[in-house]
Amino acid sequence: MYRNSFIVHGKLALPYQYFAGRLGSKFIKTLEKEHKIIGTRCKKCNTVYVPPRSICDRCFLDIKDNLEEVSKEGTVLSYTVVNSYEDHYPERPPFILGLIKLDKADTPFVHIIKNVPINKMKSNIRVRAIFSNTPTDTILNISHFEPVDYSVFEVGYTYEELEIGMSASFTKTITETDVYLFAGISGDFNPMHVNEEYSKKGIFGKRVAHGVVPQSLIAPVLGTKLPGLGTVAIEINTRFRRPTYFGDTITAIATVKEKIEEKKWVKMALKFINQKGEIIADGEAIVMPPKG
Amino acid sequence: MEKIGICAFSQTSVESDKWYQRFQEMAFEVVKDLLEQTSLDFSDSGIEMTISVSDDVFDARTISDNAMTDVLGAHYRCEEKVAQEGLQAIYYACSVINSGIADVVMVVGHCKESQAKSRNMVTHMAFDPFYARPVGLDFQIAAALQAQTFLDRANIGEDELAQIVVRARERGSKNVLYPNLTPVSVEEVIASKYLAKPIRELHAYPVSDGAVGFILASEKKAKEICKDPVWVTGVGCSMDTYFPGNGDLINLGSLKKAVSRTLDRANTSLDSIDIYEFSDQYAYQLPLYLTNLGFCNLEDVSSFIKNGGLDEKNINLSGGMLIGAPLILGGLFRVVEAIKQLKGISENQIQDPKTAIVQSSMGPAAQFNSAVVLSRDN
Amino acid sequence: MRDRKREVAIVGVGQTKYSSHREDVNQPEMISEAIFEALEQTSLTMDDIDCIVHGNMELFEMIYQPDLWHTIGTGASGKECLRLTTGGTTGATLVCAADALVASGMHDIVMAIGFEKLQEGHTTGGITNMADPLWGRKLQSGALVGITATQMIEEFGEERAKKASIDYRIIMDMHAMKNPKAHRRLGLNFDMAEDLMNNSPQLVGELRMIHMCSQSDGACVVILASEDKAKEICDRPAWILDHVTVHREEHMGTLFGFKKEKLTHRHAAEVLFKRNNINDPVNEFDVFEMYDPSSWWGVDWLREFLLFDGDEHLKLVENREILIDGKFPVNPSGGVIASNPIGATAMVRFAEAALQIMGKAGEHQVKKEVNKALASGFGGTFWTVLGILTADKPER
Repeated sequence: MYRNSFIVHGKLALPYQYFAGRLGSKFIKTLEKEHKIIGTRCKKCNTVYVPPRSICDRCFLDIKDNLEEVSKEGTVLSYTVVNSYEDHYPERPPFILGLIKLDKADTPFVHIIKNVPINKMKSNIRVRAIFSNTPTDTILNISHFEPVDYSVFEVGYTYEELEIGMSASFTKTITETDVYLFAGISGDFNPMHVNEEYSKKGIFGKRVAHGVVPQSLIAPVLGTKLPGLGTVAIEINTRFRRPTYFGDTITAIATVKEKIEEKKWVKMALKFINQKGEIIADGEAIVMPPKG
Repeated sequence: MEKIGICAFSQTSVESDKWYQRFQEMAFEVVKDLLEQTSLDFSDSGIEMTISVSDDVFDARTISDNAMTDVLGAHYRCEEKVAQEGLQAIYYACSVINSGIADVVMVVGHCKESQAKSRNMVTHMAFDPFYARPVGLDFQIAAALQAQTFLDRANIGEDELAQIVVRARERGSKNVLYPNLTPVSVEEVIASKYLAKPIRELHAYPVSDGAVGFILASEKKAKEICKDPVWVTGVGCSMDTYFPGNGDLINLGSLKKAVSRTLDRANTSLDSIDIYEFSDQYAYQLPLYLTNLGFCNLEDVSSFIKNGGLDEKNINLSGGMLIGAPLILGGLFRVVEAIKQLKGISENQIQDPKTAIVQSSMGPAAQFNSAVVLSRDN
Repeated sequence: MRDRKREVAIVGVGQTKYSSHREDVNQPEMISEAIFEALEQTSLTMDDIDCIVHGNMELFEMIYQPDLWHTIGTGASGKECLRLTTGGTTGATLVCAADALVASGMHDIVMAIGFEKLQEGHTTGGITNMADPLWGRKLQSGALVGITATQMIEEFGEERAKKASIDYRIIMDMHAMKNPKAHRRLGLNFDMAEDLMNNSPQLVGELRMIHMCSQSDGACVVILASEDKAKEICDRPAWILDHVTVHREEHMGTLFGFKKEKLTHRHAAEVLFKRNNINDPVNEFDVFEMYDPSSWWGVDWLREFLLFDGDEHLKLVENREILIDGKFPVNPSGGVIASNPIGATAMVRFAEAALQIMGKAGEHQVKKEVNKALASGFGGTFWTVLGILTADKPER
C-alpha cells in the first residue's frame, strides 16, 4: 500500500509524574489504610464531590477542608461493556465500566464492575466497593465494585427481547404420588383418579391423572424459562385431547405466537405431548414478560 | 456581533490513512487553493493573521504549529494556534476581526488521526491521572456511558441508530472527497461488533486524515475579496463541568448554552434556521442533541427518526460527522458542508437555503460545545 | 495606529508562587490559587467573568486538551472558553486573544490563564519533540542554545561579553530577591561575577548553568476588561495600546547558527514602534518586561528590541541602567531566568508590566511613575509577541 513512501516509527516515551495534591493523596490513602471513601462538601450549594475536589467549580469556593465520609455502596447510573482492546485499559475485554454514584455523594465516577454476567449487566443496579489488598496510589485502591444483590440478574426475557417463534419446554414423568398429592391439594378424590377397580370399568380402562396435572407443567416453562423470571400469567386456556396415565412422561412446550404491542403482553402457543409424541393437550396463554 | 465574511473555503479529501502526504503537505494543498481562489498574499494588504488548528498529541510534536510556520505563510508574520475544537478558530477570528485588530484572517486546520496507534489512546490523556486514567477512560468510553443512559431513558433503539448511520453513509457516499466511504445496510450496522456497548463499530465516525481552511474577512473587505461571501453572523461556545461531575449525562447544558449564545449573537432563533449540521461522532449523538435542542423529546425521538424528521428538518444533509472528519476538525468540516448548501453546490442540495447552524463538541460526553450561524445574501 | 472597536485594559493579575516543588497540589488546584488572587485583587467573583482563555504546552505534562480537566480549578463551567497554544509565546498570545475578545465587544470581562507544572514532565525531552521526526529530532538539544554566547564573544571580545552576561544575570537575581513570587532567588551580588562566569558548570560552550532559566511550576492569571468596566474595577488599569506577533521558521540546522538572519524581535519592534510612533524606546518606555531565557539572550535581545546596532545594549547593562532604579528598568520581577513556568512565562511579562503601571508590584515596584511599559514573549523556532501597555487610555 505504502508505495514509494517510508514511515518513521516514533514513540512519545517521556517520563511523567503527576501530583494528586494533599487532598487527593488523603483520599487515596484513606482508601488504602481505612477502606473508607471520603468526599468534600460545598457548604454553599451542598454538593458532595467524590472523588473530593478542592474547589466547588459551581460556586468557586475553596472546600478542601469540608471532608466527609460517604457510603461504600451506590447505584450504577450507566455502564458500558468494553469490547475492543486498548493498551490503556485496566482489564482484557470484555469488561464492564460503570458510572457509579455512591450513597451520600452527589457526583458519580467511573469504575470497574465485576462478578456480573456480561450480557445481564444493566443500569440502576446497586453495587459495593471492594478494596484492593495491594496499594496503587490511585483510585484503584478500590479494586472494583460488585453487585449488592445478585438476584437482580435472574430475570427472564423482556418484551423487547422476545421474538415470535422462540420456544421452551419442561418434561416430567407423572407418577401415582403426583396424582394423590394433587387429589389432596384440590380435594378432588374422584374415583377415576384414585380407584383402580372403579376405573377399569370407565372409558380409559385405568386410573388417569387430573387434567390440570400435566397442564400445570407449563408453569415452570412460562415462569422460569420463557419469558422466565418476572413473568406474570394473565390467562391460560387449554383443551384436553388425550388422557395422561400414571408413568406417562409429559413435555409442556410454549412458543411465542404474538406480541401485543399496546399492552406489551405476549401470546404463547401451548402444546403438551406424551412420550409417544401424542398431543395430550394444546392451548394458548397470555403473559406479561418482565420489564428488565 | 458584526457579521464577518467567509471569502473562500477549501478542504482535502478525508481518508482513513493519507499515507502519501505529510500533514504539512495536506495543509499546503488547502492554503494554495485558498490563495488561488482569493488572489490574496501575505502582505499587509493581504492575509494579516493565520489561525491554525492542530494538536500536539495527535501530531506527536510539542508546539505542533512550529512545523507549520512556512506552510501557513507566517514567516515574519502572525500565526496563532487554536488547541481546541476547530470551530473555535472561527470564534477567535470573529473576535480579531470585530475588534479591528485584523481585517483578513486565514484559518487552517489539519490532523492525521492515522498517525497515532489509536485515537482512543490520545483522548485517554485528557483525563486526570488519579481517578479516571487508572480505570481506562477515553472519549469513546465516556460516549458509551452517555449512549447507554440515552438508550435507557429515551424511546430509541438499535434500529433508529442503524437508520442514522445508513442515511449518513448514503449521503456521504455522494461526496467524492470521502473516497473510503461505502453505503451500509441496517443489518450490517446491527451486526457490526461492539466497541464499547452500546456503541458499535459502524456507529463511530471513521478514523480520518484531512485538512480544511477558510479565508475570513470584515464585511467591507469580504465584499472586495469575493462577490458572494457567506456570512458568519453568530458564534458561541460553552464548557460544562469535568466529566462525569454532572450526574445527568444526557442533559447537555453546554450544548444548549453554546447554541443559544450563538443564536443570540446572530439575532435569530433555532426554528428560523434552514439547515443544521451537527458533529455527531457516534450515531447516538445526533438524536441526543436533537432531544436537548427541542427538535423532539425522549418519548417521540424514535418516531422523529423513523418518520424522516432528519430529512424534513434538513438536519445533517451532508451525512454529518459520521462520514468522517478528524476529531478536532469536526466543526470546520461541517462548516464546509453548510457553505456548500448556502451556495447551492452541495451533493445533497436542497432548494435555496439561506441560513445554517453548525455545531461541534469536544471532550468526554460532549463537555465542550461550540456553534456558528452562517447566512448568505438574498 | 489601527482603529479599534473599543479599548481594553488589564485590570487584575494573579500569580502563584513560582517553584520547582508543588507536590502539594494537582494542576487545577495550582491554577485556582492564581485565580483566587486575581479575583481578590479586583473584587470580582467568578460570575463576573464572561470567558476563560487557557493555554500551556500539552506534551510538557501530557494532558490532552487540559482545559477540560482543569475546569474544576478554573471555574470555566458554563462559560465561553478559548484555548490557544503557541509554544513559549503562549502566555502572551493568551493576553492578545483576551484583548481581541473584549475589544470586539463579544465579552466585557475575560480571564486569561497560563500555567505549567514542569515538575510533572520532562521539559527538554518535550521541547526536543518539537523538531521534525525525519530531519531534526536527533540533532536538537531542547532550548539549550549556546551560539549567542559565541557570537557575542566574537563581536565584543571574551571579557566584555562574559562580564555583560553575568552582570545581567546578577541584576536579574537582585530583582528576583525583591519579588516574593520569583522561583530562584539566589542572593547574588556583583562581587561574585568573576567566580560565576568562570566556574559555573558549562551547558553548551560559554552558556553556563548560572546563565540559564529555571524550570518552574506555576500559574498566572490576567483579567482584562472593556473600557467602561475597567475604570470601575481598577483605579489605574493598564491599557493595551498595541501588540504584534511575528513568527519565523527555519531548518533546525540553521536555526541557531550559521547565518544570523534578522531576529523576529527586531522585526516586531520595528513594526510596533513605527505603528505607535515610538522613536526613542529607551526614553519612552518606563519599564521593559522581557522574555529572557538566558542571560546571554537577555543582553543580546535588548539590542534587537531597542533597535540598537552597536554596543548600546552592552552599555545599558554595564552602566547598570537596567536595574530597577536605573534609567531603563528591565525585568524588575526577576524575569524568566528567575521563574519559568513555560505556558505562563510570557503572560507573566504582560502581567508584571501591568502591575508596574497599576502601581501594585509591591517591593519590586519601579520607583518612578510607570506610564508606558513594553512586554515581550518568546517561543517556537523564533517567535515573538511584543506589546505596549499604557497608563493613559489610548487615543487613536
